[in-house]
Amino acid sequence: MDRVAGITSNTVPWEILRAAGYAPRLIPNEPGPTPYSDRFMEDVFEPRFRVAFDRLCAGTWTDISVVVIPRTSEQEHKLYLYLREVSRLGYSKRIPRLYLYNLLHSRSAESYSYGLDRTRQMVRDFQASDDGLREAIAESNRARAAVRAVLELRQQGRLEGSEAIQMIGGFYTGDRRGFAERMRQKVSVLKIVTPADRPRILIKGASLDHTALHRLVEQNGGYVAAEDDWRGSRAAGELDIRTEGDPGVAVFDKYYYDAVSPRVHPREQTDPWFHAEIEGGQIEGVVFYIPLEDDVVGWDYPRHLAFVQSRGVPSLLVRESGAPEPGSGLIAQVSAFVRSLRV
Amino acid sequence: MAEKRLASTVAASEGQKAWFAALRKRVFEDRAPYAIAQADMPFELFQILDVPVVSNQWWAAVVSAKRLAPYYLDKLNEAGFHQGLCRYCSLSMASTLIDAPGQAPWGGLPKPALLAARLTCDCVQRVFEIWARHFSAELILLDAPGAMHLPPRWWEQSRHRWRELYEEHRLQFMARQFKGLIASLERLSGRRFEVERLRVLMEQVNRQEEYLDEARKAICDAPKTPVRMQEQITNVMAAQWQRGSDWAVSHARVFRDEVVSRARNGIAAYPNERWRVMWVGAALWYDLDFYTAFEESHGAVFVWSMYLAFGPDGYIRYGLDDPLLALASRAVSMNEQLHNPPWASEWILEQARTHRVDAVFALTPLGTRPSATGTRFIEIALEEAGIPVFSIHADMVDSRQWNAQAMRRSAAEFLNRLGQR
Repeated sequence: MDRVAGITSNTVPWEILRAAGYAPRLIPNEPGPTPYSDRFMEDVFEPRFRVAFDRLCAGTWTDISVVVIPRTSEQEHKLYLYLREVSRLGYSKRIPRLYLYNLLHSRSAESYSYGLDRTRQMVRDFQASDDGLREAIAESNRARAAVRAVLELRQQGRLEGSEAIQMIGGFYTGDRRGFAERMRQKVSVLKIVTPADRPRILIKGASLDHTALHRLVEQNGGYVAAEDDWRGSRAAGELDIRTEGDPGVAVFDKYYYDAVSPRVHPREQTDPWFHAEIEGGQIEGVVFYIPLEDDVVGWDYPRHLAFVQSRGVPSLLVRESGAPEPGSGLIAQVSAFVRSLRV
Repeated sequence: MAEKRLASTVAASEGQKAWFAALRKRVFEDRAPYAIAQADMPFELFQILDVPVVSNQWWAAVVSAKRLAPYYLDKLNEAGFHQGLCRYCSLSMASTLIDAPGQAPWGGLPKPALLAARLTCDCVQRVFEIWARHFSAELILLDAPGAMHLPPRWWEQSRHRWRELYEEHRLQFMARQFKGLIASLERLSGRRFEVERLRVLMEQVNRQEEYLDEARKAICDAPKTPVRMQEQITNVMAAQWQRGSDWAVSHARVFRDEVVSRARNGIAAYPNERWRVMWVGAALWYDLDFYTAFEESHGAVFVWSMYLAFGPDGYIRYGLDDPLLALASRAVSMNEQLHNPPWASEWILEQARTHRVDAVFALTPLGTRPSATGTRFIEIALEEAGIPVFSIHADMVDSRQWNAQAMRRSAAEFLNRLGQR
């Protein structure tokens, strides 16, 4: 049985862990009290990192033998430091081995070179062989193709956004070997054809680790056609991992050039996907989701708002996600917005 | 405003104003380029290439101290940036984005030729990108890999064993990034980078920080603190923003002399000092009177903030055979040292002990993530060492949610609980 490697984001090289004999699994968000986080973490942390910290301190996930955290957001960097510290001070003796993957996201020759070195170091640290990497690359590329097939169905109006998100979730949480087949089977029994008059909506903003907002839009007559989110429309990225040449370099190139992260810079690298979706003419409305604890995407919002306005696409700003249950204010907001798009 | 007791404090304040006036004259009249940079950038490179640099945090503090933050931040919110976003790093930007002639302190920031920041958090690149586009200025961002080698008592290694402490791969990466910054500064100034000049400047910085170290020691050893925390900040930061310059080294020496002299002569900043209080976090720039508010009522005197102590512990580097790498080591872990566990908590606990601190006021900023995180670990370390902590949740520049009276009442109640002395 494979050892489980907990990962915190899309930017942990799944292929290296797989080649090293691990079953990588995205650490889940889940309800429940978080006493360790309440004691050690400030309020500024996102709920999913509070849960991760708490459960790892508590030793809840006994099957996880290593946790790999990328330098892909400030909160993850802090999560790594906090877990180390709790372990060092002896407040928890159950924290698995921790590994920081120092992937940088600024686009410069220096960052590329540094990131490649760190990736090679990770390959060495986990003793992943070239052959193992090639097998893992093939496996994950097949899974990416399956993700794209799911997204294509959604594009055709045959799959609700909330359902697509749940299906794509398996790309991060399950065994990628069987992922493609599981998707094929699920897709084969799909019967949904969405009515053409449902306005096609794109969700943009902070990453969502649930489908509550999608479902709220759908319940009010909208069709969530896409989201600018690594858990959804951007999960597979634009490209597969190259199968020729040095597999370590190929893996790094994928995660450096083709992964979503709040630290990707400059905006010429971050905006094209969103712009292409809007300019494609299929999107009739945008829901911007900026949680109250946000300190990142709020800086981008006025720019994105100006862009959609310049293209004549209506938008709605929401500050809550609807999880676990949407409040009446949010319901009213979303309902009115979708209704306005149908007029 | 608290009385300025030290002559060096008056000189520091006047020196800063004069420096800024000279900068504006140079920029407006001589069309010389200048830069705006985050506080953790290598100001030394700007200095040896003769590109004046304004610290983003310093200017934010000036704007806040002039009670202008609410005006600018309200305007920023009206422009679509929500209220929860980082204010310390964006207030200076707001003061230049918002067109308000006559509002800005000291005539306001002129148009910079360059903006530069280190990517500690995830928002700073966004703030600086918006800012650079507004000014059509060049933007240099230095990325920041995370530290993995974290021996708790980092300050015992940072002066002599900095290569080992800060990890070779991180140092080399930072030094490579510095070369890009140097190339930009060379273009702006028309000067050539000379490594020997950097070595000399680094030695000067060492001297400056050694003076500050001696001032710190005098504060530690004196029965009652000879200089209030706010005056420490004024003196230290005026010198740090121009660190290594002749003026800065000279000012640090004058400050040291004055502090040592006061300590030797038994002169206390507040003669009835009963409680020695430590301030954790950036200063409350809009309410500096807070730091003297409890002297008469409780004999509580603020004796420590990071500003003086960090100079000697964070900046001194011996063994300057590769000054660029040594400079990289100064910049590469500033965030870990000041805010993150284990470095910040262990260091602050050590400082509390050496300064004979009785109580700590710890700021958890509402709107500045890199400063907000790590605070719990600091508070826990202090409390477990038997040092009571008063937690303050407030922003360091945004006074809109600050209730001065209520906070003074709460702080007084906390001090009351310390007992009698």
